[in-house]
Amino acid sequence: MIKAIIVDDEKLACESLSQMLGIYYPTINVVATATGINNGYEAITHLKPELVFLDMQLSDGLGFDLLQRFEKIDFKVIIVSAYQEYAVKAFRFSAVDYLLKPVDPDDLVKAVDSALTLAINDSQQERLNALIENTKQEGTKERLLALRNTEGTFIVKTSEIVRGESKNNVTHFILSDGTQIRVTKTLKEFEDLLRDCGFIRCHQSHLINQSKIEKISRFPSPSITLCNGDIVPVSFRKKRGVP
Amino acid sequence: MTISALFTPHYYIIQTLVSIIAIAYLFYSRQKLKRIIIRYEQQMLLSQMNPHFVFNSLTAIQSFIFRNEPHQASKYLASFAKLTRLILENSRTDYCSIEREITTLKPYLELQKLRFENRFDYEITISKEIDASTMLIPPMLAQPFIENAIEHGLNGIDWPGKIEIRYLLKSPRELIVEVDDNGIGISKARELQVKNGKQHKSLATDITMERIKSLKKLGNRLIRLKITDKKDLNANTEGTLVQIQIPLR
Repeated sequence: MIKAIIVDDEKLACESLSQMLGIYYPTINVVATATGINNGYEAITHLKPELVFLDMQLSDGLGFDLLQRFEKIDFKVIIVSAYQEYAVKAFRFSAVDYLLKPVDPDDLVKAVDSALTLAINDSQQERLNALIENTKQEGTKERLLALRNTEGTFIVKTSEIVRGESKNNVTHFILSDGTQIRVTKTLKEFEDLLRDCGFIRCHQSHLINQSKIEKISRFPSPSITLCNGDIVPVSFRKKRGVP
Repeated sequence: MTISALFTPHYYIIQTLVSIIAIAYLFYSRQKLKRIIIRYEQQMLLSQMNPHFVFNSLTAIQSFIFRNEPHQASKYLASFAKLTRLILENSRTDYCSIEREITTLKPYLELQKLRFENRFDYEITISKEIDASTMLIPPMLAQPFIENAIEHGLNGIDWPGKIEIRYLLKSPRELIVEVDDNGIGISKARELQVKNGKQHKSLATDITMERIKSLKKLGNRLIRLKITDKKDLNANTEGTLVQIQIPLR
């Protein structure tokens, strides 16, 4: 049996989730439910679950505050949240597993499957730390972006990214120190995520950090030179977005 | 008639008159446009349901589905539908009867009771002099304060919670809507919010002040808002009292 704990200040939400788990995962045993940071912390330290479902809005604070109490998080965390736009964005930046309430059973299965199959050392701690940092920096342009691929998870500052380029649905990120990171996600997904951080899609297959632009030239064809010397084409249709 | 006749003083007067009329018309249409914008702002503010309430209510309904209680699930789903429908309809009107207002508040309070597992009770009273079916008020002015009372005042208390919503006539031309709870009181609720690191921002007061301002721009007399921590009135009592004074038309 896999031990799980649900932390949510809405009792009916705890109940709904544990009923769902009972149906889809008979091997998961919900050993406790808690409503806040204090009793949640106690339950987790005493019962040592493998899986924790954590709501963000708790009776005595935020879900992050509970995570910060642990020096090392040695259990899998699936965040559950009622809609809050900034929070959802932070989850996506940090590539953590999250579920929105009311929970879609299919999403639950996906999230639990991915949590159970991944090894515990798989950078969860780093991603959760990135998440906590991101929520602290709400309102600024600087974010931490978790890029996951088969080699592992890279947490990068958005200000270190020079550009992203799409090749066959794989996005290549080029950082200011020359590192390249490949992620199997479309450029479109990153465009939506990074728009508020000063990134622009200047071409079908190029996303650039606006603050890294060195020169914009019109001839022979419109293009942008970036601080690391890379030259990126500007497509006719995207021209208007370029400063 | 020669060309120079066009520039006689006679024509100047006509020209001036035409421009004055044109300017007056422009000014008038601008004012009209402003009023339309304000009205839309009102509608937008009104149709905003607190997302936290919406999604948590739906989750509560989901719990009945998984507990195999179709009757309860359907009952609350119907309440949710009723509330949504009424809020959508109310947002299209500037005024609604007190009766209709109460019809909207009831499913809202029922859903909140579901979320909070009957940890509070509510009572709505209308004083005798008021004809609830004909007296008109701006819709949902009190709702944000009821929400505050439930989610911040009554949440987490270890005694039975109670919210009283009262419609009183202060004078023939002035209505008072009171939201009175026996929770922890607004001062303590604010302290807790700050302590728990949640941003201290009262959406209820903000939205209501915004609405009061634009209602005034639409030509209504000023609505007044008074929020009292009941501890300040009497050290032995607890809770928050919100009073909204609405001048009647």
